[in-house]
Amino acid sequence: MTGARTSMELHELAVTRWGLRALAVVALLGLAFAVTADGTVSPLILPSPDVIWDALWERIGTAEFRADLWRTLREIAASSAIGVVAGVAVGIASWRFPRFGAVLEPYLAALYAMPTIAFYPILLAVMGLGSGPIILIAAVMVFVPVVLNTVIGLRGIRPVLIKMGRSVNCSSRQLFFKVLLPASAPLVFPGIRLGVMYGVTSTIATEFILADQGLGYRINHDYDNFVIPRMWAGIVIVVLLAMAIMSALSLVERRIRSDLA
Amino acid sequence: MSARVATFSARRTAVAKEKPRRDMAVLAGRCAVPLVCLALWSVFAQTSTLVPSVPDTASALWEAFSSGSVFGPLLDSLKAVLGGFAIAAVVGVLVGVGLGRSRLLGLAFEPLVTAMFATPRIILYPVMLAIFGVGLPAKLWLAVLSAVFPIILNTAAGIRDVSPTFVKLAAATSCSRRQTLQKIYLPAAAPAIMVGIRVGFSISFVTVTIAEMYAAKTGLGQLVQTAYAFQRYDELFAMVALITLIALAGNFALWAAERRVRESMT
Repeated sequence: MTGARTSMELHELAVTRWGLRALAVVALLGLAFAVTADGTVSPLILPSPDVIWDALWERIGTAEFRADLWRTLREIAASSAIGVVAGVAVGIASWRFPRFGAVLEPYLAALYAMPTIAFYPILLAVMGLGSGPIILIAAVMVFVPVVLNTVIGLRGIRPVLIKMGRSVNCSSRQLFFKVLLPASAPLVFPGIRLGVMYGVTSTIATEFILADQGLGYRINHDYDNFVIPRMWAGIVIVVLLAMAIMSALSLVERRIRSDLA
Repeated sequence: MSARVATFSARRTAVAKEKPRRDMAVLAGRCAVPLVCLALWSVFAQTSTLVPSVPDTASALWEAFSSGSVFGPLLDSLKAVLGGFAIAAVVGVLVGVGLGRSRLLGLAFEPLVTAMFATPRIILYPVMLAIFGVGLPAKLWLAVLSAVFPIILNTAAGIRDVSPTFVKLAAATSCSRRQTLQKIYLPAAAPAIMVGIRVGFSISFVTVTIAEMYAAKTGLGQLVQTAYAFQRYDELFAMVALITLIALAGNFALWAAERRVRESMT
């Protein structure tokens, strides 16, 4: 976005944006209604949207759903917390001690290319069925983009900013919170957003492969029992959850990052 | 919102220019990391009956190749990944160009594409199974769904980043629409498109593997699943190691291609 816009123009822009988004969703829903109504697509593949809607309402009211949601959210929260804290810590260490960073560098890049979820069966064999292996794998998925972006963000800070901080006698704590953190935020935050997104994806995916509870497991379970509308309700719930988490992160990012204001 | 993440590669070349002399401590450290990992693995193998030793895993891997039992599943997985990935690359770049060029389409559909990128595509595997039944087509179309969204998002972001000067240049030299796309937009967006293609490859490979763990007649993931089910842990470790090696090899090849594309731009 370039140039100054009046608040009126910005408001109009937001209205068009949301209007277009709504239109796109309505168009897709219409398409789904059309292909299911005349039998082009079998209800065993895609049930009519109103059938899915009913299944969704029914599902949300159950205690089973609350337990699944709670389990999945807990796993996402735990893995995100572990991944972000470890990622930022290792990122700061690699920046502060360049040799440590240089040793780690090729392995972090390789970790980024690793099919981490493929290790799930190994962890299942070793740790047993439960939240443990799911959280561990998701935490690694969160960790990688966070650490990479933290290092790049910190290294990209112009030295003059740090010198400036030192010359006005910043304590190292002040230097961190007032200089380093804000200056590296434009790269650290997208890293966190991408990391949490990978964490959400891998949590649901590992639950889907094998678990005893959780939103991903429920889709698998409903498919095995051929309850196709409920399976689609489960898919819709997961898409909505992913969207909600992404929006929440963007909101937090906009609140914290001063350069976006 | 783009899914791009910066990598070390650009920075690494800059650092290399500053310090041409090799730092022995760093080199020693780099060599020590895999050794420490192997040592840890051996300790785990000693203390737990569930973890096979390093030589056992290596011999299980060797056995799978020398008996030839791994080739069929390996080929089936690769067919699904490469076929799906090729379709996704074509569709993803085309749709990405559309979303990047048209403000209207971008505003309307990009949030949906982003939402799909944030959703694990494996949950759509049951739908693929319902449409195609268990077999190669279900895996192949799941690979398409896995790879296509990051390619769309990165292409759209790359197209939007193309400098207006280039576009004006095309207009000034009265390029046709097709020429503008071929000579201006695609080459200028190529580095971003390559990032999408690499991420798309990783995701489609992993997704196909876990789909095979869930339900498949054959494939690497299916080998992992049977090894797990029959508690043949040396085979399990060997297959996971093989999957890891393939993913790393594919990624590094695409990384190299990405760097060449980026360097040819400057």
